[in-house]
Formats: sequence, C-alpha cells, structure tokens
Amino acid sequence: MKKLLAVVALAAGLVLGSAANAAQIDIFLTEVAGNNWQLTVDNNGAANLGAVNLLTSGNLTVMTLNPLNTGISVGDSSFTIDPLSIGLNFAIISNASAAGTIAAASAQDVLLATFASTGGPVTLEGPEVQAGQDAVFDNNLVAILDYSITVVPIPPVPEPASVVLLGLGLAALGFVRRSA
Amino acid sequence: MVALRLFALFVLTGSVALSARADLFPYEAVGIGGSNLTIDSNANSCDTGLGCFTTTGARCSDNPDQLCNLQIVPAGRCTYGNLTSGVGPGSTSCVWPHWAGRCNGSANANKVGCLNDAQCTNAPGGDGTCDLTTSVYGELASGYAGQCSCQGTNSAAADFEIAICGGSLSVCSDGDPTRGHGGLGVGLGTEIKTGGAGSQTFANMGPSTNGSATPNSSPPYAIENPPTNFDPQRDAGSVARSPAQGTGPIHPVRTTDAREIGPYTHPTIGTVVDVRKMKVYGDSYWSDTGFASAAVTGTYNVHIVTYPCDPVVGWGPELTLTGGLYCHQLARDGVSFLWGSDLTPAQVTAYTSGGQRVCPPNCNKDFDISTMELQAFVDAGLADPNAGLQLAIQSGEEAAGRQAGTRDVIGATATTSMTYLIDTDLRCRIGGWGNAPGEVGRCNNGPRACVPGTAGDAACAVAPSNGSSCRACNGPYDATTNPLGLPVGYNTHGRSELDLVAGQRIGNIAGQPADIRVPLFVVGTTGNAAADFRDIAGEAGSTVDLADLGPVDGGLGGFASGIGAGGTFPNGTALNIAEPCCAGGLPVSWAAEQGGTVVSGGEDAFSYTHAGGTYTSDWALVYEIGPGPDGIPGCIGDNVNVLNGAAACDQRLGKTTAGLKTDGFYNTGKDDRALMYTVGAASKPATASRFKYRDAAPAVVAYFGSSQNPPTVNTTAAFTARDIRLFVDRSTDILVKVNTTVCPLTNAGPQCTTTDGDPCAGLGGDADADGVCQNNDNCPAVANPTQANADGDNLGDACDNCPAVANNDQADGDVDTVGDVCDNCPAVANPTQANADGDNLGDACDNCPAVANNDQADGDADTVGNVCDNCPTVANTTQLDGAGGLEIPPDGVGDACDNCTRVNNPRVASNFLSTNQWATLTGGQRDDDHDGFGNKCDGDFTASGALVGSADLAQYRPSSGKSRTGDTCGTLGTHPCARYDLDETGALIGSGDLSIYRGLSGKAAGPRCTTHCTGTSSVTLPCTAGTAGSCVFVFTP
Repeated sequence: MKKLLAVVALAAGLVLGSAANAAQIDIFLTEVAGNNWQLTVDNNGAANLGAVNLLTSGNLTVMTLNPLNTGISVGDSSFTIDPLSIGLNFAIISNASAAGTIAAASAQDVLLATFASTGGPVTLEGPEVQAGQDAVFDNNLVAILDYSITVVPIPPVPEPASVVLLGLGLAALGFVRRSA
Repeated sequence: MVALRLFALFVLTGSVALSARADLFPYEAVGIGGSNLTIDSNANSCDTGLGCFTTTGARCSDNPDQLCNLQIVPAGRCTYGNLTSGVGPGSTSCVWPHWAGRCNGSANANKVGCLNDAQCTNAPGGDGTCDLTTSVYGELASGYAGQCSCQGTNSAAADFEIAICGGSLSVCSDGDPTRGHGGLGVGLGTEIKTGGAGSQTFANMGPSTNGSATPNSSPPYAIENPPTNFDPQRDAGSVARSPAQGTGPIHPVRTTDAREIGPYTHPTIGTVVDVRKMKVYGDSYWSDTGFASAAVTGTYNVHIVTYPCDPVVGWGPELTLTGGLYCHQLARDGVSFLWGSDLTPAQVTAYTSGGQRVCPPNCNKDFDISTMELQAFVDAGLADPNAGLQLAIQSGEEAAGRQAGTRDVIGATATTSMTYLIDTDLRCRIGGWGNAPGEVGRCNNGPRACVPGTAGDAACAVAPSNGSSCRACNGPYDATTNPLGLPVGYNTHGRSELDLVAGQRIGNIAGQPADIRVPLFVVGTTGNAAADFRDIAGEAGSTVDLADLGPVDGGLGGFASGIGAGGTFPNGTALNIAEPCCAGGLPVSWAAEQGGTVVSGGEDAFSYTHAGGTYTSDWALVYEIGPGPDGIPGCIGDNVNVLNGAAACDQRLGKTTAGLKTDGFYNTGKDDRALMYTVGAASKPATASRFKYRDAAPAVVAYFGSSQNPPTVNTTAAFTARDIRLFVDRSTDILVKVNTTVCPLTNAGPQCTTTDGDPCAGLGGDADADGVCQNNDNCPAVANPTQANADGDNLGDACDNCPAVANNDQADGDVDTVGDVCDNCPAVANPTQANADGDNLGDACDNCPAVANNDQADGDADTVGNVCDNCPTVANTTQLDGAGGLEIPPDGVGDACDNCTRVNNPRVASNFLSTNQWATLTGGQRDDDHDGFGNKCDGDFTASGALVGSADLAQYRPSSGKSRTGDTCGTLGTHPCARYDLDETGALIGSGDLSIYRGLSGKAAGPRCTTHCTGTSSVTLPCTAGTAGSCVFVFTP
C-alpha cells in the first residue's frame, strides 16, 4: 500500500512538471495573467518557420501579433472567428514574404502573438484536424509535418490536502528505499 | 527292342455315362510329348464308319467294338504281346491293357487287352471271348503278365503312343506290373503359361513326371485315392522340354505318382462336360511324355504327331479332307482348343520334305485340348482372376518357356470346326496373323506371314523360301466379292483379332452336318485377350463355372440348362433393335459393315444382305442391361445402376465405363438378362439367364443357320469381333461371351472403333484417325473423336472458327482464324481476341481498350472514345498531357483542354459540384473565378490583365482565414472565397493558398490551353458552377 501511494504521488508530480518538447517545432499556448494567452514557438528544426495556421476554441477574442517579431506579416496574418461555423477560430501567423521568417532556428521560444480571452479553458489544434489543411509551414510555405501543440494553462494552487498527499507520497517513497 | 517294357494306358469312361453322352464327349484329343494321345472315353469311339485306329494310323476296324491296339509304344518297342512265351513284363516290353483280359479264342488266344467278348470275337480270326478272370494287377484273380511277351514292334513310333479304342470298361495302362523294370507311362497334362516368369502349374492338370532313376517306391499298381484330384507332380527340373533334352531318355518316376484313372467329376463342370481324367500309371519308369520326349523340340509343349495323318495336318498344303480322318478326327465332336506358334525356320526345314510340310512324323500338329484342359482353364481362372481363355498356352521354344507372343494365338472352337480349321488353312490359324498390319496371309509353304498379293508372293519366295504364294487367310470368302478370302479389316489392321473365326466358312464346307450351331467362333488373341471367367457373385456355386460363362447346354442339341422357356420380352413387348434406346438415347440399329446391307433389324432376328443374297438370322441373342419396372431398358426409374438417357444407351452397348461396377462387372441389378428371340423352325428357346460382362454389355449375337451363306458375315457385321469370347460346350452348342461393341450405329450416333475391320472403308477413310469416318466427321482433318459441336453447326468444336456460334460459312474477313460472327474485331486481325476491358470489342479495335465502352462513343471524333479521352470534347488524337514537362505528374487532362497546362490540376470528381455548390468548374477543373484559368494557376484575382501582383495580394489578404465556401472574401468581403482556394484543398483560405499565390506572383495567369481557353468570353470548355458561383465572370473590386 505504501508503495502504491508513493508511485501515485510521484507520477502526479512528473505530469505537473512536464511539457511536450520532442517535435521539430513545438508550439505552446500558455495562459498568462489577466486571461491572456501567449503563443510561442520553439523551433528545434533546421528550417525557418514560415507560417502557423491554428484552430482554437474557447473564449479567445483578439490576436495581437508580436510587434517585435519583424518576420511576421500583419497583412498575411489573420484571426477569424469561427469561419466554418463549427466553433473553431482560425489563426494565421504568416511571415512577411517568402524570404522572411518568423522564427529562426533557435533553442529559445519565440513569442508569435498574444490572445485576449474572456476566460475559461482554451484548446489549440492544427487546422488539418478539422479542415484538411496543414498547420506549420516553412519559409516557403511548404508544410512541416513534425510539430507539436501544447496548451499550458496557469497551474492551479494546490489545496492543503493535496500538499499533504504529496508529502505522504514522498515519505512513503523514502521509506521504501530504506527498506530496500 | 529296348529293355523297357511297354504298357498301355487305357482310359475308359463309365459305360453309362458314355452311352448317354456319346455324341457329346466322345473324344478327347490331347497331344502330349512326342505322341498324340487319344483317349476314347466313348464306347462308340470306334464308330461305325469310323472305327478305330492303330498306332500306325491304320484303321484297325470299322467295328465299333473292335479291340484295337492299346499301346504305349516307344519306338522300336513291342507293340503287341504274346501270352504264351511266359516272358511277361519284366523281361520283354509288352503292351498290356490294364483291367483288360485276353482273348481266349483259338485263333488269337494270345491277344490281350480285350475288354469284352465282342472285342475278341470281332478281331480278325476271332478270338473267342475275353477272359477277364485273371489279372496280374490284382483286379482279377490272376494276371496275364507272365504270359506276355513281345510279338512285334512298331518301328514307326517315334516315342510311344497310345491308341485307344474303348469298350465299356476303363482302359488303363501300366508300366511294369512287377515294378522290376522300368516302364512307360503316359502323362496327360500340359503347362500353362500365365504370362509371368517361369511356369505355373495348376491343379487338376493331370499327371506329370517326377523321375527317379531307381524307383523304389512302387506300391502295387492300384487306383490310388480315387477320385482325387490330380496333382501336378512334376518336380522342378524334371520336365524336359528344352531342345537340350530333345528326345532324351524317358524319365523315371516313382510309382507313387501313379494315381487313379477313371471318371472325374469336376465339382462344377463335371456334370456338364463329363470330364474324364487320366493319371499316370506306371510303377517305375514314367515318361514325362508331355514335355520330354518330343522328337522335335523347341516348338511346343506337346504334339509331335506320330500318326500317319492323311491328309496332312498343319503345315501341309491345303487339302480337302476326303478319306483320311485320322488326325482331325481325333478331335471330332469334342471340344478343341487350338493354339500354336509359328515354326522356326529350322523347323520349317526339318519338317519339309519334297517341298511340303510332311506329316507324319514331323508334322507339327497343333494341340488339341480336351475338356480336361478346359477345366484347367477354369482352374487357371480361379488361380488368376485375370486369366481365363486368355491364357495363352505357349511353351516349348525355350527351356523356361515363354510368354505368349505376337504370333501366338489361342482359339477355341467346336471340334467340328477343327476339321475346318485343318481344311481351310491351318497355317493361318496356327500362326495367327502377322506382326504388322496387313500381314493377313500366310505363305503357302511356310509360316511366314505375308500380305496377299504379288508382293506377298514375292516375299514368300525370299530365302528361306516359304513358298511362292501368299495365301490370304480367314476372310469372309466369297467367290465373287472376296475370292481371296481376305479378312475383314484386311490391310487396315490385319491382326489376329479375326483369326480363328472359323465360322466364316462353315456353310461352305460340303458334307458337314447341317446342324452346326456355331454362329460365332472365338478368338482371343495375345493382343486383346482378357479375362473373362469370373465367378458371378451370388450365383450358385462359389467358383468359376460354366454358369459364369453363360448358359450351358445341359442336354442334347441345344441350350437348356439355365435357360428358361418362352420367347418374348418379360414385359410382353418385342424388342425392336432399331428403336431408340430410350428417350434421348441413341438409336440402335444395324448397318452393314462389310458391304452388306441390313434389310431389317427385327426384334428377334435381323436380315442382312450380302453378295446378292439376303439372310435372316434364325435367332438373335439379345443382351440388355436390365429393363426396370417400366420395362424400358435403361431408362429413368430403372435400377439405380443403370444409366439413363443416352448414357444408358452407351452403357447398354458397353460403350461406357460409367455406372457402378461390382467386381469388375457392371452391376445393373437383377434385371440383367439375355433374351433370345426366335424365329422360324430353327428357333432357340428364350433365355433369361444371367449374364454379366466384365467389360461391356454385348448386344446381339445372331445366329445364321448353316443354310445361310455366308452366314457369319452377317454376324461379324453385327458387331465387332474383337474380344469375343467363346466357350464351347460339349459337342456343338457354344456359349458366347461377347465383349464387344455393337457396330456400327447408324444415324449420327457415335461410330465404333473396330479393331477387326476398317469402319471407314468406303466412307472416305479417317484421315485424322479419330475413329470417325470422313463422311461423317465434323472435323475431318482434326482428330475429335467425341465430335463435340457446341453450336450445332456443321463443324465440330475442334475445327470450328466459332465453336460457340453457328456459322456454317466459317467466314473470317480478317483472316485471323476467328470467324466473323464471333470475332471481337471482325475487321482487324486479332487471333488472340484480347479484350482487356471486357466489352464487346477486342483491344485491337476498341477506341478505349482499357475502359468498357460498347457504344464506342467519340464525340470529338479523334479516334479516342469519350470514356477514355482526356479531352472528350476537343479532338486530340495524340492525347498529349503535360507535354511541357512541368505538369508533374500529368493531371489526366489533355493539354488541348487543360485550364492549367503546367500545373497538375486534375478534373474534380463528377459529383463535386453537387456536394460543393460554391465551386465553379471549366472543363471539369476548378476555376472558381471562371476566367478559363484553373485556380492553381490563377492568382489574378482582379482580372486586371496584368501580372499577378500586389493588387491581387490585396484581395487575398482579407480572404485569409475565410471559409472557401463563403462569399466574404476580397477587400470588400464580397468575393467568392473559392477563387482564393488556390491549392484547391482545405476548407479555409490559409497558408497553403498563400504559398500558391506567392508562386504565381509576378506571373501572368495560366498558362492554359491556347486553342479553346483563349479568353473569358470564348471559353469553349464547359463551364459549370454551383449556387455560390457563376460562370459569368464579373469582377467587382
């Protein structure tokens, strides 16, 4: 029983602290304070990022492109509320030209845009899921198939009982190790 | 005089039986060893007018009761004894008839061997009565042996021989009554080769030898163990029949080998044929007469005839029997089997004297077999289910014997025909036919087979000469039409199938009894002999017997035993041979085979014309595979084993192996029957005896009485003479087993393939050798024995250029071997008739060979059918598509009608518009601004005519993210968004479309086909649009 409790507690801790980061391009929609969300990209691949087409749900209302990212073309980018009448909004962040880029290959996350929200949970997915269209393109707008999308809401504050549970788990784990 | 004594062997049958069967079984003629042993089992053997015959061939008396010489006479040995010398057996060879007495008359007091008083009284000079009171053998009070001395010898006897004219008592022979000296005995038996290596002996074959130089087991002469079966007592190696042994010494045998003599009743056939068996008598020296003492070895097991035959028998010139009746008469009225082999050249030389074969003593007589051998055949059949008459008895040429060879024949015939065989041309029958087709003759002075005619004559003269003339044998002689007597099938088969068809001349032999009921003779040859004798399951008796062979004459003069009375069908109807077998069956009717014409085929006989005469059979034996309850042969409802319809006909005619068989026989239930229909005075009783046939059901055996001339032509015309089996009962009645095919059938029925005759003679031959004559062959040049003709036209499938479609004219315009009426390209040669799409037209003439299009519609008349035309409305014979090399891969839209000739933009599915009504198509391709340029090559949203540029980008940008189905795009938000769906994929205007736009930027729209897509107002390609679009291009900025 003690072993079981320790395993459960450890698993919970690992999930809370992990993030998908294995694809060529990792896209994160991260909740920040004030019901705002930030769309960042971690380009781990060799190709520059040319455009991102995403479908979102929830209460995102306005997309504001990162004005510091000069590779983003305001004219070629758009955020359309439910264009297919299916409850999904279509966000396009595209570079200014075929030669431009919105995110150079870098190990550092790059902020693409910020979304305002009226609150509540948000989903993010590639449009190919709904519309048969690719989601991530290279600098020539050729689809990149190796990408990941992760939504990271603000972690909830643990309740006291949860802290106790975590502590019990850790204690149990230590006990097991000593017994071994 | 040699030291060995001679003793006579007498065989005499019981008087009662003999008298009752006098005309049935009077003689057995069995050739053995170097002599010809005759055993008169008939008290009337010395018939009035015939008398008896001595060992010298002389007729000893015309008196039936005349006592004749009873001798076993080695050459140079005593032939008759003298009782007065006191030098009896043991000192001087003497002939003494066992159980015989001596005549006590004064004139011939010392004559011995009498069996009754009459024999003494009738002897020359008269000898008083026969004293049977004494016997040295114990049967009588005292014997005469001590009084026997030799009074004379027979220098003519090559070895020994026995001539017996019997009386009412059994006549026996003994070797040496005292056993003190060697004697001679007589072996009766033969050796049957069944085809396997070595020899095979059979029980009940009679005595043989088991020699011992110093016999020491000499029980007193007695009838030992009567009437036990005969055992083959010949030890291996003791039989001398090889050339090396030649005329070697007489082999001694133990007396213990001597067995009884007397009547022998075979468990199954004895009551019918009254078999008399004789066994060896002799206490010490016992000759393997059957095999060892042939004067000329290397020819046969048997028979060096030492009788002074007159006329010659065998290889002599053809002579008509006139006065001399010796040799052939030995077989008179009995059952004779005949077999033989060609003489070797050396034998021919040896037997030649004065340019002719001579006899005796060197006449190579064929082997007459008696009922004892007949029984042996039965035994052989028991021993070997595949044996039977086919047992080719052949031996003698080699020490180990040999199997029957090509020229060996075995035949059976009534003994009456034995005469004819001799009379007609024994050469042919002994030798059989030649090895090659056409060798149907024999040289007149030798055994050589030849082809009658000039060439054959010359062939005969080739050294060593066999004469100067090739004589045809055994044909249906007719003075006018067939003077050479060429056999049926002459020059086409020429094998021995027809050999020994002795009946063919029966009617021509003058002076012969009229009542020769031998309608058919048999010949099983080495080539086609097959087992016939099998026990019929369920039939009385558990062994092969005559019942298995067919009805047997249990009495005199006709079929009786086993044959019921009556003469009609059981169902009361008459069989019309010509009537159809049954519904759907083939008609069975008679037709001429050899030039004759069937006049009528009646239910109980049929008439036949030949050589100007019309002959009507006296009776016909009709076999049928049982009619069932409905009385209709072989029709529905019959026994389940009887086929129906045409198959039944075939089954009935033995043409099929279909149907259930049991133990090799067609099992047709209990309906099998042989029905004999009668007409006229010569009618035969009908029969319902059971017949089963191993191979085929016979049809009809018709009998033409002796008044018919030539009678048997009709018979042979009735069916193929191959594989005919004959079994001979007693004197004249025969039993016929027919494994044959009724032939020919008339009308369109299948014709028979005969081996004994050319069925196509006069019918154009049979060029393709398929058994169907040219005149009736639906494929004369292509072998198609089945004559299958699916379309029913005049040509069989095998040679029909449209086997499934009737086309008698066989028209083939494109000369591709496929007739026009079934050619999928009648105007284009395509012998393979390849047709990939399976439509009605072959690939060679199909305007869409890969797409079925029976209508071959081609709207643009460019030789490419609409269904496979990449520009169905624009003629483009070349079907170029992506010719510039930039359309990768080619989109299936021909360049002549492509709205984007350098971009892969295939036509959308035919139902695209019905489900995507916002779209617009030209020529089936997307063209949502309907300007003639397909979406994928059209970034000119403003219709400015200029290159794709910023104005167009300005229209695109507000469209980004919009659904392509809406009309909310463009700078004003009123343009159909579909026009911005440049990648023609995805529900949203997105980066993919932007990517296409960027590729088009700075370029003119297109290119598109130049001929038909030259402008928005002159688009000739069909323009279709859904409700969201319009084919009228109006650009509103």
